[in-house]
Amino acid sequence: MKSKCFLLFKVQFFNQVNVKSKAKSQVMVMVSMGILGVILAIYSYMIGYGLGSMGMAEVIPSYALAITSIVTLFFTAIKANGVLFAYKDYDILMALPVKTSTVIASRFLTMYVLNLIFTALVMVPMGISYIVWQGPGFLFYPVWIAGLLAAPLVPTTIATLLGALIILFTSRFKYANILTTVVSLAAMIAVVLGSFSLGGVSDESIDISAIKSVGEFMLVQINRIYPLASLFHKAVVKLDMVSFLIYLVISAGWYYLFVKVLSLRYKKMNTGLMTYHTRSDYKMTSLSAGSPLKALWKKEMKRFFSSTPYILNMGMGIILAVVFSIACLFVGRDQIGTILNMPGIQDVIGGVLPFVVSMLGCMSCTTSVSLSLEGKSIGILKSLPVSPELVYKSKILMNLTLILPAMLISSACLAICFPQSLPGVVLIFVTPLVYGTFTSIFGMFVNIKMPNYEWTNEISVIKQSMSSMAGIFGGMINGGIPIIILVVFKNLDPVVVGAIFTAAEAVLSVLLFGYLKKLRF
Amino acid sequence: MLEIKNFSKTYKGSKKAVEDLNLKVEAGDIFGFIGHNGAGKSTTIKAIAGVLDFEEGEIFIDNKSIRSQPVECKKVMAYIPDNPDLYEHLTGIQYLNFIGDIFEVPVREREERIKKYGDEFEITSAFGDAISSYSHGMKQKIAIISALMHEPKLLILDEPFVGLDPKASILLKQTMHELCERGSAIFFSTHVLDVAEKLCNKIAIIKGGRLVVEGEMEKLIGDESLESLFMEVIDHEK
Repeated sequence: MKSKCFLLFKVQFFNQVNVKSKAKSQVMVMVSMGILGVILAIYSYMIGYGLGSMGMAEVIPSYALAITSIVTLFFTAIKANGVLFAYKDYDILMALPVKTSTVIASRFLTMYVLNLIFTALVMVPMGISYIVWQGPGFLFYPVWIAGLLAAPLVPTTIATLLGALIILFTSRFKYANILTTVVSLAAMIAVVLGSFSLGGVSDESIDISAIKSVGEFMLVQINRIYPLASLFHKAVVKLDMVSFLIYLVISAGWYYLFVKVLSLRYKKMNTGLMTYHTRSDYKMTSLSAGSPLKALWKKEMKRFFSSTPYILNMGMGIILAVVFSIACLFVGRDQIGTILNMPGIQDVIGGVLPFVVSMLGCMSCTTSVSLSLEGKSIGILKSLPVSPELVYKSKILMNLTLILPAMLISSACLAICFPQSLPGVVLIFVTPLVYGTFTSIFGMFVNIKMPNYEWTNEISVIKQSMSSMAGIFGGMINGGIPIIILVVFKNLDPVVVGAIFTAAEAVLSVLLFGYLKKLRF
Repeated sequence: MLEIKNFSKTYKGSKKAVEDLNLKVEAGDIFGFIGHNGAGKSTTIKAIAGVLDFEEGEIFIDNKSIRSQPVECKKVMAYIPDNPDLYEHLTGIQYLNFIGDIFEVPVREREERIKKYGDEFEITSAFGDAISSYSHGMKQKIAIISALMHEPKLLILDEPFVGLDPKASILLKQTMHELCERGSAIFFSTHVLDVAEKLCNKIAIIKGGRLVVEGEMEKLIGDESLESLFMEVIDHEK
């Protein structure tokens, strides 16, 4: 069973991470992933070190476990469907002479390993920062490593079940994909809000006077959000082996139970998920005609709204931008600096606003994956009598259709919240539009240069591809640079800096699109 | 209608898939392109359709080069791949209307042709369902209807009969004849020699990327069958 499970896992894992024979692109992907990993590890170490420097080193174990578990829960829920359920090679896999539980274990292992890599990148540096501050004994090391290995089990299983239940519920409806997206979003928000309300301090639940320090307060909060963190805290800080064993038994037992129970219903659930509800009662009616560009644009829009992972991943930036700006109206300008969590930002907040909207909006870069998402259908696009330029335009237009209204709403909210001079108001509206346009063109450029049409699961393109990461992080860096400049060099006139960056971005957009037109996909 | 001149294609790191291919397909021809698996049929067809780039040789469609005037060439032809990987998120009718928009087919003609072929292929009732719910044969039917919608001067098909039910196969053959009678040309690949023998007026046999036989069906097979000719040619070339 173990060897078959590993064999299935190996095929699935390498397919998921898209290991290709093209050495050059493979090296680029590995290097980029490595850089991202290093950044995450450094960031995690700094958080751990920061907690330690404030005398809260004892919070580190709970914090590390809780944060990795919540992030794992959030992202696994998005991709569970397609990895464990309703995946393309389900028929082939289930026809093989292997037990259903082996198939489940192998599919789960893929998600577990991917989540474990993320967990290790957070928990290993945080563990080091704990060692730096606390200098724990030998027992700490096996406890920390075992805790790390067990960490993704519970959130991955919960997220998988959550994802499957949502799909099972929504697949009965006509607009199943949109409903799935809405319910997934609502469920995630409910989980986050629910966990925070559990961790909320109320007079009845916690005796405030009993809390001696901020560290203790944080610990109580985290342990309420994620109760397993409490056990892990006791195991690491107090070397309480009973708590440690309970933590391991709960994690492994929950996983074992998950595989066993799921094996009983696995075929039924997949049949439910993969059974299409067809009406087959179409009667010819009059059709409406449009231009080739409009047809391509409509196709792109339908592609976007047909995929929950696509919406949740690429729509996150604009959702954040709108939520942030609407929140500004209610929270008030004084609190914004605190929320943004950047030292010294209060002084220059008016100047950085256009770039904050730009940065958030530019994280929604569908063009960085839309070409790859053509997948095996790329042949259709190549055989149609349309120029590559028209195809690029349709994909760029689609991204602009998504982000520009959101950016305008954000800009309007921020202009109301932070009254500015006329040039400042103009920049609040113009800068995000220009940045959004550049990011859309840049994403297109990246995807033309790094396409992947050979995927079997769209998640590998949307979440794990080089071009997706380049699009999202490129957008963030692009909008982030002027913010850093304005925060660091406070004596600079934000309107002048804003105007220079906006003009430069506009010129770059024109030049890059000019170059793009000559490229073939 | 279609002229292939000294076409060669080499994939990176492998030997030539097609070598120095020369072919001519006239208006009214139903041209069968026959060969083993891996003989170079799909490579040639994809190059003609403008899906695959190539460096050696030239392919002319309606006297225009597919390399230098791809959009003009594609406007007068239609391509049906061996595996109809259509846009699964669209419904059948949305896909057909999308193709209609791309080829700028006037609405009335579009509606008439979709209705005509939809009814003939008995798929009209499923037009409102998502393509992801279709069987292979249904997708193939949608691909065929989309190809016929703009009355192409050149129809390129890669193994078109795979996955089609018997009635749809018969209908497709009839439709191919009708299209050619109206002055179009058809170029298609097939493994099924019986189909090629009954359907085509011209054939070409390709082996190992090289053209081994080309010409009019009647002259080539004489009193023999296409099967005998194929075996003879393949064995002779060993």
